Amino acid sequence: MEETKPVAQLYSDASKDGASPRRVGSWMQRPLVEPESSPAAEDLKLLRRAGAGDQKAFHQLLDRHAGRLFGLAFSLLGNAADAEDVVQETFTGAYRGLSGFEGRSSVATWLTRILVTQAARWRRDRKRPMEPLNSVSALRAAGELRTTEGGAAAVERRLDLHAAIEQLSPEHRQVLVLREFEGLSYEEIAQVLGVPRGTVESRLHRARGELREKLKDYL
Amino acid sequence: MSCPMSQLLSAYHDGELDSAERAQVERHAAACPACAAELAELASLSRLVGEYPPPRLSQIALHRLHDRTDMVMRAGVLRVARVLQAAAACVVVASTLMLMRTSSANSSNSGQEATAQETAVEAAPPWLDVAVTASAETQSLDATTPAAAWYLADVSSRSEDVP
Repeated sequence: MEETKPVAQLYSDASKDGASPRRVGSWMQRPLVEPESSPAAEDLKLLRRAGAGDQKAFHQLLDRHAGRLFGLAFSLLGNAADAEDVVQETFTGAYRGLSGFEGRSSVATWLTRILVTQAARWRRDRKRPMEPLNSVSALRAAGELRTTEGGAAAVERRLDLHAAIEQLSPEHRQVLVLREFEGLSYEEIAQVLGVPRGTVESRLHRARGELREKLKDYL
Repeated sequence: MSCPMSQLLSAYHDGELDSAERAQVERHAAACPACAAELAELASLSRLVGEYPPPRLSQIALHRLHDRTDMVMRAGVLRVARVLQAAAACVVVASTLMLMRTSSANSSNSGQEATAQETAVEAAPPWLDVAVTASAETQSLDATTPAAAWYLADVSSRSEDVP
C-alpha cells in the first residue's frame, strides 16, 4: 500500500524512524566530518546558495542529480515520459521546500526521498499500472531498444525482467530498484523510504524471492 | 520449506552483515546445498539486473527540465510580488481609513481647535515667529517682485535664442 505523506514531511529531510546506522554506505552516505571538496559538501553548498536566492546554484544541483534521478524514476515507473515528469516534480518540490532542508541527510538522499514519494503519488493519482513493457513496440517507445545488444534473446530477457519487476508490489519494487539499480545501502534505503532498516531487509528478501521464482529460467 | 538461514542470505549477498554474521552464513552455506544454490541465484539475479541499466537522460530532456525549473522560479517571484502588492494595498486602505477618521474628528472639533490655535500663536516662541515670517515672504513671491521679474526676463531671452 503506497502511503500518503504530508507535504511538510515530503520536503523535509528529517528521518521519521530511529534506524541506527551500522553498515558502510555508498556515495549517498554522509560521513561525520564532510570533506570540503566532497560531492556531498558541494551539494550542500549549492543548496544553501539556492536557499539564499541563487537560482544558478539550483540549476547546478539539477545538473548534478537529474540523470541519476531520471534513471531511478524510469525504473520505478517504466517509461521515459512519466520519469521526466516525476523528476520535474521532484525539483519543483525541492525548490519550494528549500527551507525545509535541515541537513540531517545528504542532499542526494533528500532528493531521492522526494522522488520516490512523488513517483508513488504519480502512480496512485494516475490510477494506472506501470507501463507494460511486454512488447517490442513498448520497449522501442520507451527508448530501450537503442541500448539493447545481443539480438532477440536479449530483448526477450529484458522484457521478462521488466515484466517481473513490474509485477512486484510497490514496496518491493522500491527496495529492489534502490538496491540493484542505485546501489544504496540498507541504511540509505531506510532513510529514503522512512522505514526501519529491518523492514528494508525483509522486503528485499521477499522481492528477490519473487524475482528468482519468475526469472528462474535465466538464473 | 526454506532454510531458516535464508533470511540472512540477501543481506550477506549485499555485504550488509557484520563479520560474525558473515562467518556464520559461510559455515552454514558450506553444509546446506539449498542456501548455497540460493546465494548463487542471488548473484545471477544481480548480474541480470545489472545488464540492463535504465536509459540515460537525454540532453534535450535536461534542457526541458532547466526551462521548466525557470518557469517555477519565475512563478515563485510573481507570487511574492502579488503578496507584496496585496500588502501594499492593505496599507493604503488602512491609511486612507485612518485619515478619513482623523479628518471627521477634526471637523467636529474645528471650533475648539481654532481657539486652541489662536492661543498657541499667542504663546509661540520668538524663533517660530521668524520661521512664519520667512514662509510668508516665500508665498508672496510672484512676477511683481524684482527677483521674479529678473528670472522671467532671463528665461524669455533664452527661449528666443533657440532656433
